Amino acid sequence: MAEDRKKMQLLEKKEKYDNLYLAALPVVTTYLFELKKQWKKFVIFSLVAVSFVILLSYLPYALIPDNPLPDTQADYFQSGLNFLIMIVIFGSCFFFSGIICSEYGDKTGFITFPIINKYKLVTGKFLGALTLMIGVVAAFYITLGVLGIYWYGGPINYRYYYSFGIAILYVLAVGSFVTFLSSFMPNVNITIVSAIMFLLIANMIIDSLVMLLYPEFEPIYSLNHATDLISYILVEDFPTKLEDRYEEVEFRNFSRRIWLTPTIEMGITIFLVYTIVCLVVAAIIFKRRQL
Amino acid sequence: MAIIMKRNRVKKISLGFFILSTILIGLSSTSITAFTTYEPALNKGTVAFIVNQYNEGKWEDTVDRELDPDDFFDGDSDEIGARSKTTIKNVGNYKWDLHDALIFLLDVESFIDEDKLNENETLFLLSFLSKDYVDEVYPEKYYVWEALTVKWDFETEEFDESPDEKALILPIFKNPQDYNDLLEDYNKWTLSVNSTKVFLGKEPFPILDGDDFLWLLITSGIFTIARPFNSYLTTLIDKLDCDDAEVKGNTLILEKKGEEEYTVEVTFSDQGMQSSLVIKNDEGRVIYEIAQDNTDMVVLIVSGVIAASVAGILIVLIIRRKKFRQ
Amino acid sequence: MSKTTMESDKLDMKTDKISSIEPIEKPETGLKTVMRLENLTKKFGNFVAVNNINIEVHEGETIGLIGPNGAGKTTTIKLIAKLIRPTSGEILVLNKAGKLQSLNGDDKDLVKFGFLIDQPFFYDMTAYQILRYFARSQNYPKKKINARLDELLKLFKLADWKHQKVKTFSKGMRQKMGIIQSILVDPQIIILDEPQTGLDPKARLEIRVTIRELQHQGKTIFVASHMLHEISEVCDKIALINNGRIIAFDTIENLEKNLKEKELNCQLLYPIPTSDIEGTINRLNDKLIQYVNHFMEVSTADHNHGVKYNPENQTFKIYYDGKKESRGEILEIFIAEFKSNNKIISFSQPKTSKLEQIYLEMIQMDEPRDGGG
Ligand SMILES: Nc1ncnc2c1ncn2[C@@H]1O[C@H](COP(=O)(O)OP(=O)(O)OP(=O)(O)O)[C@@H](O)[C@H]1O
Ligand SMILES: [Mg+2]
Repeated sequence: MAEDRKKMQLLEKKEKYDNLYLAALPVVTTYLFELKKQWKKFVIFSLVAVSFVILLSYLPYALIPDNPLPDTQADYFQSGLNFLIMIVIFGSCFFFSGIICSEYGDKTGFITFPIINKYKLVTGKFLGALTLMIGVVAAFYITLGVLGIYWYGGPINYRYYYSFGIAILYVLAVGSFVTFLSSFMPNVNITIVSAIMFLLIANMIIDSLVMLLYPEFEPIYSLNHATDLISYILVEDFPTKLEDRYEEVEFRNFSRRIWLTPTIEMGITIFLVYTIVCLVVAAIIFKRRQL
Repeated sequence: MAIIMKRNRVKKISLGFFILSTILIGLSSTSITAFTTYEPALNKGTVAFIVNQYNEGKWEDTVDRELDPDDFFDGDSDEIGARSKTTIKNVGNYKWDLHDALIFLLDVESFIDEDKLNENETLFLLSFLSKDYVDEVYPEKYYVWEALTVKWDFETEEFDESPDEKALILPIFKNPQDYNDLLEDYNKWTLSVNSTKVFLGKEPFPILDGDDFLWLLITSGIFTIARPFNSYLTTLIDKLDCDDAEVKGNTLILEKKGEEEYTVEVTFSDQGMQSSLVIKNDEGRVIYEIAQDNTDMVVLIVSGVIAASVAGILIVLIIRRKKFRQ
Repeated sequence: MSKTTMESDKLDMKTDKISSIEPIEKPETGLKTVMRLENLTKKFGNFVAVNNINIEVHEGETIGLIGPNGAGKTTTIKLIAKLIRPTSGEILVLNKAGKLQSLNGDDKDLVKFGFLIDQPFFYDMTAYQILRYFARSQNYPKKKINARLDELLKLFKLADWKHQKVKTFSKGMRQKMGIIQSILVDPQIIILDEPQTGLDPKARLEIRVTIRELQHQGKTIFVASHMLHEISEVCDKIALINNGRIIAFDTIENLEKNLKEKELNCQLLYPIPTSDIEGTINRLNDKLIQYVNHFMEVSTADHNHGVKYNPENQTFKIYYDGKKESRGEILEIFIAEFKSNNKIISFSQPKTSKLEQIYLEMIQMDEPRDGGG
């Protein structure tokens, strides 16, 4: 009797696992398929990232003898990481823009395969794009890291790994934002253009407007502000006091604050809030959007 | 059509290559034009050194009973395993004069023993060191390549993040003969300083001969040479008229006498920096040794080889899979 | 003899069998319902694309959804595929427990569907990669995938292209991919939207062969098409759809019989002058009002269409209620009408009524869409 019950329990457990497996399978296969699908893009963007690093963090030092290296490895990383933002913005636009709108625009995924649950399909695609974009960022970090060892010797400064973690959060936030745009834009190209417009230009305009109107206000809404953390975290003694996190600039009797970095908690929160809000809104729009 | 387009692309690519290579050649040729036949070999990057051997008893018996290695080589250089590192930030063309040499190369300020002098005497001596004074009396300029570096002194533990010396300058005199002129100027300067009454009854600044001067250069920690090394070193000891120095390849061998006779072998790396320094007693036993520490380079090379082979395997796999399909 | 010729021989044999149209023995399923569309309506704004559709599909049946362009076929299928939501009504589908379940709920217990919707587009990948991905996502056993793919790709003559990007495929090849994809994972219910568009005659035949095979496997098939003759011979039942409404839903034989029996042809000796045609038809319609066919289940509700005149062969077509008495009365009315200036030379029931013709006529008879958008 007891054995029977045990068997039953085991069976139930197995069924549970099987169900879970079946439920997750479309996500996993779509994920793998997305990796395959975007593989070339990944290679191209990785190469772009690597050449960016070489172009901006190797050649200027290698070719111009006068141009001095920063004092320490951390300083070197800090200056090199400034260019990461561009890569992430452009890369994310290309990796994430098609996630939802291409399904409608090109009638590819769930119209051709309606029995694949559309949420699972999109989840798989999102995770795939995220992985690849993190891969691109990793290529950037690895190249810069190797160059760091090349110029300064090892080991790599531990804060560089923190920076990588924060960069991943940034990718997540930008990716979610592009996914959100993708959920209501008619096609991939418009998504890419509007994402770049927003992330590069609109963001800047908003930031400077806010700076003019509220000179004392820390732009905690701003993705740009949060990105400062990616490189600033490499500073040896990270500023803990508020007044160390900005520089006061006087200009024609008008003083304003140029913010150096958010606090670590604040930066992470900004990224996470962007991610969650964008994904939730995207999911709602996706649910309501019809062919 | 396709072929034409391809051709166009090839054309474009080759044009790009052409432009790029012109720029590269242009950049490299404008960088540092040789003043003499010598060329700097110093590159940006980081070099680490490690104290490999130190026999304290023998050191005291042979070299110096009073002074320890750290009096010559900074930091914890009297401990085996201590490491130092120098990051070369850039290399540029400059002119040096006696003043620079007094301050940076010979560190004359350290000769001033403030315990034995009163404040007024110190100020008076320092006035001889003022740039205006030195420049006026000794106007000669020396052409150098100058490397700006940051340096971490010898340390048995992990290095601090920020360097101990934030702007250490390594001069590479374009012409080794200039060292001799410098020495002569120094001796003149010293004589003039010593002839003032400050030193009456006190220890004056030392007058140096070629061998002393060479030793000072080597212990300065910033003495760097240009390519070709052998000829540079040979010319140098020739002009300085050193009796106790000898050149073998890239190595400078000095015969010295402390408590007893000993030899110092200084080898220069392919960058022209002192890559190793070995002190032996007259039996040929090593008393003290500093060597270049290449573990980082090894790590870099090994990881590079691993990365390259992984990439190679991947590429081979992809190609094979493609072939397999067709 | 090489392998390929052998295969084509085999195929020819199959097609021979089909062209002789042997009746398929339907498995005795006790007519279990696998899918039911209940009062299904879909509006796009004011425009009614699908209007109150009721269709019941039994296990093992092959249903043809036939209608002209813009009739609402694809819309209906998209509703079944949950690509769009119905404005009202419901779709019930058999679940694994053997009960009908609304499509809105959790779909993991429902029987498996296979879909081919509109013209399929695919990701920019090779045929093999795409199909493999799809099969894996549906938990098709890994070991069997390759064999299954090869089998299907060979069947549809795509084997040589299996490692080519689908983007480079012709329209017909993409269509074939769509069909392969819809049957790849052995679904219970297969829903095909115009499977034959863009295909050459041989491929069309292959599709009919495939449908036959699927029928033998006991699959339930739902095919939409605007080409009645393409699929009529493989369908058990046909649902005629026009302007979003089902105007007929029955077996082909019944449709044919009904129509044949409810149609009369009346040929005149001389043509009616063109100016008189409309008046004559109106007059006849008025007189025939009580005999006119209220078209099967769906009323045309428009008396003007009970009588049609074809000036080329001077023939009237009359759709009536099929009663014998009516026939006599109608003849009398016609004789009375043309007594003076014309003569009736034949008055008969058509011997054969071609399905395609029925279809055309039915659609012509159907009133224009109401509530235009
Ligand atoms: N998203 C939409 N918005 C507005 N109207 C639509 C939409 N989709 C379809 N329609 C309209 O609904 C009607 C039915 O379209 P549907 O695609 O179902 O026709 P169909 O029977 O499949 O025609 P075809 O034989 O041409 O494929 C058409 O008139 C079409 O214009
Ligand atoms: Mg259609």
